[in-house]
Amino acid sequence: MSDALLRWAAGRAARRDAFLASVLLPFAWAEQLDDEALAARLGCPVQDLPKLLLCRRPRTDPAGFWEDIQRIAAAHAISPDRLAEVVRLAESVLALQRGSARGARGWLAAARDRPPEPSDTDEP
Amino acid sequence: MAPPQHESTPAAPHAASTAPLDRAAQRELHARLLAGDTNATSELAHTFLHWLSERLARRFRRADPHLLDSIAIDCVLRLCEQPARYDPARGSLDHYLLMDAEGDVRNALNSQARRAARVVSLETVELRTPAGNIQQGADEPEDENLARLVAEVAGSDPRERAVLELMLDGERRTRPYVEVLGLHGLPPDEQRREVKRWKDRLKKRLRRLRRELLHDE
Repeated sequence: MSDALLRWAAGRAARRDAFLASVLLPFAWAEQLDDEALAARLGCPVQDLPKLLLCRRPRTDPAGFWEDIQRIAAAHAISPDRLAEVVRLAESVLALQRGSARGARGWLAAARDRPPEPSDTDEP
Repeated sequence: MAPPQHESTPAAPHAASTAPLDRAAQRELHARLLAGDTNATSELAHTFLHWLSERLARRFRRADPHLLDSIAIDCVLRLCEQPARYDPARGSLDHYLLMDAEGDVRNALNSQARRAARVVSLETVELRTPAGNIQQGADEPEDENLARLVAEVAGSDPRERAVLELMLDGERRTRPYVEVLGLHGLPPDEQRREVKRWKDRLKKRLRRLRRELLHDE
């Protein structure tokens, strides 16, 4: 398998909302992380990064988010907690960059560890 | 006039053993794509991208490999985003991808051939001399010559036109190219590589155009 070709595909996927690349690559660019630094953040070998980036972007509802994160983590032998942390951070950074602080709070609320109970309130 | 650069070889009989997955595995992967399985998109790309690129390279031997890879990537990503476009009842997944990609390649190559055919009519546009100055045509103002040059080399793709105009303006910084190509989401080193790919492709066409014009003199 040509790594360069798959890496190019992952880069192109950054411009398509369906892919995890559309969250993680703009975040990496904003944080000035190269491939090795991003892979280190995620806890995966750098050669596995393109395949990870081409996974489908996790759903936004809390239960769906965790299910998708766990599936991706299991398939790539990485920590789901670590993956979730990076994806949450990336979504928040991107939402703030789009000038929507309200959107960032929404993402953080949507990515909580458990589904909200009736007594829960949004984070300030 | 230079002949079209592509050469389409007769389609070889499709054998299931040549595809990356057997039919059952293809159906299973497609079902997972339809179900929104988070890993299915990655598996599709990992399984089919290299195979598709090689098949296109074999079928269109004289086409630009960069163009073929770009089209292969687009087809695979498109199927990931819209798996319902493929109907398993009409054929195998690998056959669908190959037909989709071949159609895009033929469209791209036909556009290039039409542009090359129009080059013959250019009699007053001259390319940059070794001294680096565009010479004016005998009867047309420089702006019109430049517009025709851009049209002939970049065709109808607005991004190619924008990149070529920057090149003709002598722009050497990466940032303006990133802006016109919409590459903001990529890391800096990937931006530079992508910009270089676009510029190299256009430089190749400019050199070809120059050879054709000089040959016709």
